[in-house]
Amino acid sequence: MHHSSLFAVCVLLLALSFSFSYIHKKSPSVLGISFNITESDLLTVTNKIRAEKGVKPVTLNPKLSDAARRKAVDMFDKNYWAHFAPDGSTSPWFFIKEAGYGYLYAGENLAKGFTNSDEVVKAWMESPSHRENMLSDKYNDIGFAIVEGKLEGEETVLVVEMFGAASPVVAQDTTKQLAVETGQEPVQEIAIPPNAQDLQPVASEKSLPLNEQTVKSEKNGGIISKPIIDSQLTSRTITLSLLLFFIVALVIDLVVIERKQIPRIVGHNLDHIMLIIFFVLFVIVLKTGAIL
Amino acid sequence: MKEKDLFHHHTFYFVELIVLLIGFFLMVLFASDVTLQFIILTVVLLFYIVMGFLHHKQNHYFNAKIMIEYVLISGIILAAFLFLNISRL
Repeated sequence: MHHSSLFAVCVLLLALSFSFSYIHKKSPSVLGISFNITESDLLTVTNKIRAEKGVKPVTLNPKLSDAARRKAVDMFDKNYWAHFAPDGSTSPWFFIKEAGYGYLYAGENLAKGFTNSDEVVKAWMESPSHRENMLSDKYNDIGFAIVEGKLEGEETVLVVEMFGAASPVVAQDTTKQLAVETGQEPVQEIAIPPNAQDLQPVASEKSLPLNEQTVKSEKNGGIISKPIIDSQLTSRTITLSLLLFFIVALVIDLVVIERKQIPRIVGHNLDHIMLIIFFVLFVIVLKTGAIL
Repeated sequence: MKEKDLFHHHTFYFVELIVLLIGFFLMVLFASDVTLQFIILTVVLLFYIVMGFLHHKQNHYFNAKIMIEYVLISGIILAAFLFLNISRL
C-alpha cells in the first residue's frame, strides 16, 4: 500500500469527522444522533419486566419525575456523574423531599450515553444492584428524567430513574443530615432497611431551573430525535467498511508477496492486520452507554 | 533465521498481541470516558510504532519508509476513532 493512499485515507477520515461535526451543529435534523428515550417507554418496559417476575407494577409519579429532573440538572450544573455530588453538597434524600414526595423507601438508577429506552433498561437489568431496584416490590411509584447536555466534557443524554414508596408522613433522612443542614428538627424517624444506602436517591439542596446553557432539550417526557442521517450509524458503517477493506487488502498482499517471494521495502503486514483487527473488534463491541 | 532470532521474532508478535489486547480491553472498560479512551489509544499506537521500529531493526530490513508506514497506519486508526466519537467530543 502506497504512503500516499494511506495518507489520503487518514485525511479523508479527519475531513469526515470535521464535516460531520459541523453539519451536526448547524443542521441536527439532517445529520445527528438518533434518539428514542421516553418516560412512557421506560415505564412500559420496566412494568413488563416486573410483571414477568411477578412483581407489582409501579406508577408514574410526577413528584418523583420532578425529583429526577432536579437531580439531572444538578449533575449537569455541577458536572458530576455520581449518586452523591463530589463536593458533598448533595445527599441522597434531598431531591425527593424537595419535590414534595414523602417516602418510606426510595431508590435511584442512573444511565448516560444510551440512544433508546430498551438499551437503558437492558443495561440496568444486567447489573445486580440496579436490577434489585428494578424488581423491588418495596416500590409503588417511579419517576424519570431524560435530559441532554454536556457532562464531564462529553455531549450525552442522561437518564435518571427514581423509585419510591410513599410514606403517610413526611419522609426523614435517618442520618438526620438534612435536618442538620436546614436547621429543622425531624418530625418523625422512619425505619429504613439496612441496605437503604443503596436504595436511596441522590439529592440536591436547591430548587434548580433547567440551565439552558448546559441542558439542550427535554421534550414530552423524553428525547426523540430522528435526523435524516444518523451520524453514529453512518460513521460506524464508513469506518468499519474502510478498515475491513484494509484488512482484506493487507491479507491478499501478504499472501501474494509470500508466495511469489517478491522483495519489497515495506512494513510488516501482519503487524498492521493485528492492529486493525483489534480496532475493528473494539468498534463492534463498543457500548457508549454507562450506568450508575 | 537462527533459532534464537526466531524466538525473538515471535516474542515481538507475542508482546504486541498482549499490549493490543490489554489496550483495547481498557478502551472497552472505559467506554463511557471518551478522553481516557483517546489517551489509551494514543499510548497503544505509540507503543505500536516503537515496536514496529524495534521489530524491523532487529529482524527485518529497516528503512525510514517503513516507519512512515507505521505512523500512517496509526494515524488512520486515530482518525477513525475521532470520526466514531466526534459527536461525543
